[in-house]
Amino acid sequence: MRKKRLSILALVLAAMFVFSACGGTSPSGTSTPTDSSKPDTGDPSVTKKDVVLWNRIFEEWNQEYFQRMGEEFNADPNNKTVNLIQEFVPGDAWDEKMKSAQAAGTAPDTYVQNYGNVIWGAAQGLLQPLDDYVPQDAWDDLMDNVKEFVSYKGKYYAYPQLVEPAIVLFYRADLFEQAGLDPNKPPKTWDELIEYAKKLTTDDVFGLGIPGFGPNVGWATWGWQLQAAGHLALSDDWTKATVTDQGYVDFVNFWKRLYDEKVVPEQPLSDYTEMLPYGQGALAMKLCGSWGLGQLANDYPEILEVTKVAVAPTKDGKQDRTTSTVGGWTYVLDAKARNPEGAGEYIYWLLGSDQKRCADFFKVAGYSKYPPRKSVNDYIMADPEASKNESMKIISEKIVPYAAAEPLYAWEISMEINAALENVILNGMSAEEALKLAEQNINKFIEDNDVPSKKP
Amino acid sequence: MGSKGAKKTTRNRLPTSKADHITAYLMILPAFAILAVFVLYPLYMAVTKSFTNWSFYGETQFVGFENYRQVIRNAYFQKSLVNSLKFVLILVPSQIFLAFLFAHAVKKLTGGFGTFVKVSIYVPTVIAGVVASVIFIFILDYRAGLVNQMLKVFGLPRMAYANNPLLATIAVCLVVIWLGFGYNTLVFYAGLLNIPKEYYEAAQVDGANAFEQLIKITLPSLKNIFVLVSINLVTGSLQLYDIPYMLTGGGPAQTTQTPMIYLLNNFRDMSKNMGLTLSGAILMMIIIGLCSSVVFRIISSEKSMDA
Repeated sequence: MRKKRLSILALVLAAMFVFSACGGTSPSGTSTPTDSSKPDTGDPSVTKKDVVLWNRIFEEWNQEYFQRMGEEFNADPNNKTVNLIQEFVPGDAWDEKMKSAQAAGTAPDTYVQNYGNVIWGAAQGLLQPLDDYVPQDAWDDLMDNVKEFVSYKGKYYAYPQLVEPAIVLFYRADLFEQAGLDPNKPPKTWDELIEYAKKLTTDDVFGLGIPGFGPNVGWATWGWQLQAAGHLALSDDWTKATVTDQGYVDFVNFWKRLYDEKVVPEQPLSDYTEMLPYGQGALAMKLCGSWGLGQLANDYPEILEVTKVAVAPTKDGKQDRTTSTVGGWTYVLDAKARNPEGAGEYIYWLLGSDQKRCADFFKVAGYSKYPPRKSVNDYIMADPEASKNESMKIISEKIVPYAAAEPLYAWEISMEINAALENVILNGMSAEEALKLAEQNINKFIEDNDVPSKKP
Repeated sequence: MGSKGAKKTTRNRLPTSKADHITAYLMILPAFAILAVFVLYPLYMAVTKSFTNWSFYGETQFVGFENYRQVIRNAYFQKSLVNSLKFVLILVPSQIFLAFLFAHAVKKLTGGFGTFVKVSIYVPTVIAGVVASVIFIFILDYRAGLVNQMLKVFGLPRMAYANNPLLATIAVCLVVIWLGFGYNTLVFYAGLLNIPKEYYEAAQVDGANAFEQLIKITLPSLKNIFVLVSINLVTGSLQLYDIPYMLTGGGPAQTTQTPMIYLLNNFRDMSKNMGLTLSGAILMMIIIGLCSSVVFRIISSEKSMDA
């Protein structure tokens, strides 16, 4: 009897521990919607209604820019109805804060969301369509492939802010020269990449930085999978794995060669998204998203001066194909937004109307991010300063046009590719064996989770 | 016999009048209210929602045991459970052994030096797991960490702990042991101080050697301490989250991924409903409860029952 009591006590204690462990700490930030109408300073008869926006904290300049935009919008004489309340939330606290707010019914009217989560947000009923709140001309101006990223069942669930290719090769022109390499001829094939990296490797500098095992490999190799195999890990109808063909075998073996030839650090020097080790001179070449340019401009301007960018090398050297996926950020409308009209008004003002205002953002970003709107792209290209920017030219002309959307399938499937690479590189399995195992695991996952029925 | 009689007498002395009952209930009411609001109600909500496809906004549908089935069959969850067991088997005995051993040593230390040692070993306890992880990341950093710089001085290759399953496991265990060492040692130390000296004096008179004194006096007298420390360590090891998350991200090859990391990843994944995450949390609650109960049974102590 006592033992039973103790067991019950143990269970209750365990429950307390589990829930205390699962309940994350609340992030800082105090701005909450007030729902209070504020009198317009210009005309007492007109009231402004709050719109709460949650923005994300990226680079310092980014936050300053959007802070200023919010203030300009509130002060704009043409804005007579909306009082924007903008809160900046750190990325690592975002999920906990957002889910808590959604559970409590206090989510913001509008927030910044990445492309990958827009469709899932729409499918789960977390978002509402923006079609009725953003004028048609803004939708017509979007690039066709970007329209697909934000559409679900014939409706637009997000308005894009920017696009960023996830795979760009950054390299040090000065170190190329020191190693006897021509900085104007970056590696185009996988063999050249390894050969160049070998020549660039010294006691203190690694030849190449690639995404490390784990989640980074999970998403930052989508472009490599596409360029090698021409497709991703799942069939179009999401019914079976497609990872055992020669393209995937070649990709996995190439990745293994990078380690075998010791041209990459055995362990990544930073997160894939960070340019820090490259900026500090520990890497001669680094794979990163286009946002790396902005980081260099902000934190390592002297390194940016000797940096060039190139398309990720391919197996045969041909670069008129997909070498990268493209991600980026959008503004979405919460399904329970209290003021959807006001949110739509701000989104249109910020992203869908004046080309100059939109182009300014990309200028401030050092052209490390790219516009999703045709007219804004034309406006930027007409700017002599932008047209002289060599990096922008290469990324916007040779990478973005071929870039594919990020896959929407479950994260476990991408992690199976990471597992295959780990099995080959760390556990000594052959590429064929590892990919066969990945295929089995993915197909089991598909069966267990009825994956085809969940395709948005 | 005498003690049983004493227990009965004690029980008979418990308040039985209505007024006493009301007073007693009133006194436990605040604690029960807090428990109900912060534990029982969330637990009830979690259990009920775990049987649905709840995602905050959409229409919630009852899905039976589907979420539980998906979690149990998920290869990552299975592997994370195996990892947890591995951590329990490594961390619980090693921490108990080290703390018990060191508590003996500390007991013999007196004066200012003794106080200094006690304070020093307790210092890591007040450091958060995240901070401790950052300290060890600096020490183990592949490019500029202390360990790799020393290896470089001796002409040895760098150590890539995050890409080596064994080294990654050792790194995680090292931080956990370092953090918990002070607390566990002081608990054992307090237990040792509680054992009457007369027991040892009598044993010495009877000719018992040090080992016999350990087996016959020290260990039985510390049964309650072993129960407390074991439960804490088993529960803590099963709930391990911040240290592997910071140090290795659960890798390489998911060898340090724990159920809590798996649950957090599920929670953050927008393609998954909250019911799925909750079902994983409920399963973990049951597993931890069962493990704690097993520990109670293994180290069943009459003294602990009476306490």
